[in-house]
This record gives sequence, structure tokens and C-alpha cells, in this order.
Amino acid sequence: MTDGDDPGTDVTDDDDPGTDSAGSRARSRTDERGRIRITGFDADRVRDRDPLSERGDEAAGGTNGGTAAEMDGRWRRGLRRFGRNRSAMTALAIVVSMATVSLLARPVEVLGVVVQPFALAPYDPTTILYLSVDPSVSPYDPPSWRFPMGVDGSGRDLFSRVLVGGRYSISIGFVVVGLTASFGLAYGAISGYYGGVVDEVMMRIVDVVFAFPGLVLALVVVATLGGGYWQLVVAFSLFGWAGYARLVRGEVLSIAEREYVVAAKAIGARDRAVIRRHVAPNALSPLVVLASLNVGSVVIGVAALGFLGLGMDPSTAEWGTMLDATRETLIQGPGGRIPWWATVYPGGAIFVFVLAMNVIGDGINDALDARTTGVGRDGRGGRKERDGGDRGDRGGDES
Amino acid sequence: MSDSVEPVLRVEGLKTHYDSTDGFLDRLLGRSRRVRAVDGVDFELREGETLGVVGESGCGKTTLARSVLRLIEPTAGSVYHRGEDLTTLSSAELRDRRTDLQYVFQDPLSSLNPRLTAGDVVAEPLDVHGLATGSERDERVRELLETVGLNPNHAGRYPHEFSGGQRQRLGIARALAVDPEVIVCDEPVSALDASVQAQILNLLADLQEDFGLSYVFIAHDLRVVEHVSDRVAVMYLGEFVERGPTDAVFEPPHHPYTEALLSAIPEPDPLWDGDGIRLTGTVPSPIDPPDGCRFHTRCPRLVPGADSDLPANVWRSVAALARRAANADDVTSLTATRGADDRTIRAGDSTPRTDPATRPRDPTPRPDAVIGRDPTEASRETFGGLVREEFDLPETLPDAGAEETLGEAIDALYDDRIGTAAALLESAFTSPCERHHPPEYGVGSDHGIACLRYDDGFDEEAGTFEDGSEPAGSSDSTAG
Repeated sequence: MTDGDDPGTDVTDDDDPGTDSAGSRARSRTDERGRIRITGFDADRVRDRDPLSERGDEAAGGTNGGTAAEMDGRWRRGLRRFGRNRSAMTALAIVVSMATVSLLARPVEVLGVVVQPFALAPYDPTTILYLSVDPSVSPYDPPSWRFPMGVDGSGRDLFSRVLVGGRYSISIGFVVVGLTASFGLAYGAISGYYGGVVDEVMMRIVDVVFAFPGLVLALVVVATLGGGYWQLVVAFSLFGWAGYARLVRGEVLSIAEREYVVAAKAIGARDRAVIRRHVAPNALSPLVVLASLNVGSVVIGVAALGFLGLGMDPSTAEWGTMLDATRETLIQGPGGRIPWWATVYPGGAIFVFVLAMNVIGDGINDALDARTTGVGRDGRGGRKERDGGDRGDRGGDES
Repeated sequence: MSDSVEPVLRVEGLKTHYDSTDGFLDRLLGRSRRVRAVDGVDFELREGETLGVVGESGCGKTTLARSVLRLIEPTAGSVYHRGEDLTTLSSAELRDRRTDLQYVFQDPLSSLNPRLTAGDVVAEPLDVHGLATGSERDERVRELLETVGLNPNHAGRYPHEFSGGQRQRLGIARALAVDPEVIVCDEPVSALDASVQAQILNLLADLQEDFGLSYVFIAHDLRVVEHVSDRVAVMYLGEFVERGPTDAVFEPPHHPYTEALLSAIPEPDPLWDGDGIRLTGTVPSPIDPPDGCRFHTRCPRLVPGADSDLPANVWRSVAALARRAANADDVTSLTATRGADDRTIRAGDSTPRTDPATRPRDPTPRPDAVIGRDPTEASRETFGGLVREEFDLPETLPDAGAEETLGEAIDALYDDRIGTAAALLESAFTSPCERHHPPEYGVGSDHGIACLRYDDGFDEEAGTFEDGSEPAGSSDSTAG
């Protein structure tokens, strides 16, 4: 800008001073159309001169190699950011090790073939110790070197049971959340994107589902279908999607108004593609957070049903069911002493798992947010951690 | 109109109305409120040219742009692209058509999905229309980024990592990806600062040259429009009031609205005193646009009634009073405020109407503040003075008949009979502009102005319009 002129007007001609300030309003026309040029500035000289520094070229050359890596950068970057989040990584380590340990606790056989030969748990979770292992063991033996978490009311090794119990609790949590969140995402996205009558009808259905407390509905389903793993999955999935649907729909309502959605339509994208590519991914962050919180609540819900004696078979090594089996000892154990280990270890397992899931959810949220810089995020993680703690405590209180 | 070249885009009688009825009850009772955002617009876009559309914010520019591409469904009218009516196409056919018609958005950031990288953004149209796959696709993306002046190595970056100008380039690259014929640019530079505006305008000009693009260029900045457009259309309240070649629109004769807009262009001249034509009032609501010429409520060159002997400016002042009286529910809004804070000004000011000599004539002298609050409590003379002051009317109108009507109306207002006053004034001071909706009058080759001043019935010398017959104007020259 040679004379500080606005490029919108007469940058090129300086011979005509423009306005007649006497007020005749004879404007100087911006001259012929085409490129706006700035006079007194030789662009070619600048273009052809030696580079002032190496930096420009270097940057171009440097990113050249990295382009392929950068093309799929979003998830990679999210991962990197997640990796920097220490509390989330710790929580992830906890969840992964809990899942691994429960998987490796006893050998797994599929159709008679052993696919997983490891056995971290010293005993089978259903083995009654004083019958088949050692007659000197009695129910509610306190923790010892041989039985690190003690013995439960039926004389089974609690350590083995806690390890194996993770299989049910953890997998139910993930399976249910996976099913409900994907259904809720699709449902909410369609409802919010199309709006109008579609939205109205779909949301009234959600309202009906919401009219009943979730645990009561799960109770009804389990009471109808009977207990068992897949029955529990059905019980929690059948009505658990409504929360996701409503959350996603709210997000989508605002996203559908964004200009990039209009832009996608202007390009000629189909509704399906617009929802899949533009609407749903941008509604994902709150969904992921809710889902990770819900893994915890499903686990607690399963435990609660187990505690009420409605979940799995009473002898199953499932954390909630294990709590149920020792319920009466909370008030008064045999001989006036309370066998705390029978409730604290399964309850603690639930607590640690739910807490870790919440921290992970928070970490995912931060990592997926494309706009944040990753600075100063730890404070928020800490807050969520406390929330998770409260939840976990509640889980523990039930025990 | 009789062009040998078939226009790339022809819009006929395009109307887009929004339903702003709030609530189920209103809908049930049929109390619908329709916002006439675009209300009957015609234009043609020829190959390789730029049509500039200017207008105040809220006049329907964006709605027009989106309706043309059916991003918003138009209520009525047709959009012909190469002779085919877009408004009748099915959604699948329309999707295919989008390879010829593209759109560039005003806000470059909000029109880019924050979760997609630059490469994804540009590649999306290629994927959607299956134009390129595999390495060819990557090559095309790099080429497109280069075309709009972006570093192809930045394909992996996210929109928020680009500057405003770069984002707009990205938006342009996305539009270019399908190799379109027409690009509708909705204020493409208004969100950018001046130097970046110039770069983007240069880019658009280069692209037009290289790819033979036609632009519909929407802007509120007249300087930008003047620079880029071959032809200009001026929009007011959902209608075009003037259109024609850029030179013709920017030179007299003007539509009064165009004139006002042009006078508001700031000059880069320190001696410029900026005494543009100031439009009073606000843009009327598009829910209930004014009858007749839509601009008549704010027009500085309102055409006086044929039987009037008043000078045009006085006549306009009276008409303003009539108009305000028709909508007022309280006489306070029709009188000049002489409140407490006015007193300090009056101390040094001695215009006749604020002359302290008028005050002793008050039967019950009271503090000014009270007068300010309820003018009808003042004397009839003071009240009349206040009304005249508010509308810049002289003490007596030059025309005896008009003065009599005005006096009666002020009497009515003084008695708080606003309705009577409004009726009196309206019967005497109604502009033909309020009665007739002006068609477009051809004033030169390809230049049309929708204003009664250009009707044959308009008496140039007396400045009045021969009323009685419908405006017979040369409306056949509408194809501008």
C-alpha cells in the first residue's frame, strides 16, 4: 500500500485527486476492471530476489515429506494429545490392565479349543476351597498370603473371583455402550438433521423412554427374560440409547445450521453423506464423553442388578453379584466380626474401573477437540476426576 | 434482452418467503407471518461476466444467492441454467447440476468444517461427484490448492490454522473443484481486511479469466462491486430497484436509493466532508413491506402529489408527519422533545421556535420537563410548534389549502385524536409513490430503474406525477 490507499478504490491512478471537496460529489471511478495493482511497487523484483532467509524454503521442503503423515493427521494428533494427558494415560493403563488381567485370569476355551492358555488366577472362581483344595479353609477367612483377598462366604477364593469377574462387568459395559451410543448417534442425527415432523415424532418416542427410570426398565426386562449375560446386555441397551439420541439431536440442531453444512449441500453431497461426514463427527465429542461416563454407569447398573439378585446367576463371579452374595455380612458377619474383604475388593474393583473410565472420557474429549491447543488442560482433567470419584464412591456405598 | 448469447443463468420472478409464524397456536388460527426476503427478482447472467448485487444488510441478498442455487427453496419463480429450470429439478438432478453452479461463502471459517483438513475440504466435491480417485485425486487437490495460491503442502492443515484470506482461498478452491460455470459469491470479501480483500478480488479476477467463470457477486461495499462488476443490481427490501451496466448505475440518472448509497461511499480524501444523503428511519420490516414503492418511507426524493403547490422538501416533511401519525399510538412521538436536557442547549440557541418570548403566552407556565413529558398539556401554539419542529416544517405552509389541513390535523393531534389526524393528513398528502408499485423503467441501454420519476407520467419541471392513470412506463425493457 504505497499511499495508504484502500485497495478497494483508486490504488492505481494517483493523477486524479478524486473527490471534489466542494461537494459536487464527482467521484473518481475506479478504473478498468481486473487486477488491483499497487503502483510504485515492483512485484517481480521481490519475487526474483534472493530469499531473505532459508526459512521459507526449508518449511516447504520440511513439510513435503510429512504431508502424507499429515493427511490423516486428525486422529494421529488426537492420539498425541491424548498421550500427553498424564491422568488419562494412567486411567487408560488401569482399564487396559484390568481388562487384560480379567482376560488372562483363566484359560478361555472356544468350542473345546484353548485359545487363551494363561491362568493368572490361582483357582477357578467357582472352586469351593474347603471341598477340593484344602479342608482347613473356612468361609470368610481373612486375607492371607495364600488367599490375598481372603475367602468369601461360600469358601471360594476372592482374588480369583475378582480377577475373573472383570470379564463380565467390563465387557457388558463396553458392549452396551457401543450398541446404545451408535444407535443413539444415528437416531439423534437423523432427528436433528431432518427436523420438523420427523424430529417431533422421534423425540416423543425418546420422551416415552425417558418417562421410566432406566434401572426399573432394566429390572423389568431381566425379570421377563431371566438373568444372564446377553439378557443384561438387552436390558441395558433397549432403553439406554435415549440419552445419546437426545444429546446428539441437540448438537445436530446447532450443527445443521452451520455454514459448512450448507456448503456441503452446495457441493452436491447427499443428506446421508452430509450427516456422516459433517454432522455426526462434529456431534461426536459430547457423545464420547457421555459414553465413557456411561460405561461406568452401566457397570454400576449391572452391579446394582446383581446386588438385587437379578443379574447373573448368584454363583457367577461378577462384581455386583459378588457384593450381593455378601450383603448380609455388612451388618453383622459371622461371629460378630465383619469380613470387610468380601465387599471392599469387588466394590473397589468397580470403583477403580468407573473412575478410570471417566478420566479416559475426559481425555478423549480434550484430544478430539480440534481447536484446543492442549495447553492448560490438566486442570479440567482434575475436576472430572473428582466427579468420577464421587460416582465411584456411590458404587462403593452400595456394597 | 434480445441477446444472441443465451445467458448462463436467468432468474425470473424469484420469490423466497420465510414462514415466521411463531407457535402452534398462531398456525392453528391462521395468523401466519411471512417474511418476504426476496420478492420478485429477475436477472440474467451472461457467460464470463460478473453481476454485482448491492444492498443494505437485511435486504435479502444472501437469501437471493441461496435461492438461486436452491440451497433455500424459493417460494416462486424460476432459475434457468442453460435453458433448464433448476426449480423443477429433482434433488438427484440438482446434485448433478451443482458441478456447474457453485457458491462461495461470506464467513470463510464457519463455512469450513473444523474437523476436515484443507485437503479433505477440497477433495470433498471430487469424492461427491466421483470426479477423481486415488493418486489422480491427490494430484487434483494439490493443483487446486496451487491454483488459489495456497501451498499444496498445507493440505494436511486444519481450517483454524489458516489466516482469514487463506480460508477464503480454500473456500474458492472447494468451489473450483467441480469446474463450475457459475460461482455465486456471497460477500466473499466482507469478512476480510482491506489488503486481503484486494488479494481475493485479484484471485477471483484471475480465475474468471483462466476458467471463463461467471460470477454473481454479492456485496454491501459499493467500491468492491464497482471494481469487479460488469453489471450491477441494487437491491432494496427483496426487490431490485436499479440494475444496469456498472458505469450506467454509477452515473446519473440514479434511483434515489442508489443515489443515497453512492453518496455514502467514503472517499480517501482528508478534505472530504462526508455530506452524503442521509436516509432517515430504518428499513421497513419485510414481513409487512410498504405499499407502492418500497422505498417511499425513506425516500429523500419522494414524488409529491400532482395537486400540490408546496415545495418538494416541505411536501416531504408533511408526508413524513402523515406517515408517522398513521403508525403512532401516542402524540409524544410526533413532537420534538424539549426535555430537561434540552434546556442547556436552548440557553445558547435562539431559533424562533425556542424563543423564550413564546413562553409567556403559555396560560400556565410550567417547567419544560413537564412539557417534554406530555406535550398536549402545553398550549395549542406550543404544541403546534413542537410538531412543526419535529418535522422541520415552517411556521406556516406556503400553500393556504395545505396549511389549513395541517392546522386541522394538529388540532386533532392536540385533542389526542391521532386517527383523525392521520386520516386528514393521508387524504391530503399521499404520494403517488405510496400508491403505485413502480415497474422497471428503461433509462438507457440495458439500464433499468424502478422509480416513478422515470415514468412518462412524471412531470420533470413541476416534479409531480400525473396521478389517476396507472404508471404506464416502458416496463417492456425489464430485461436488464
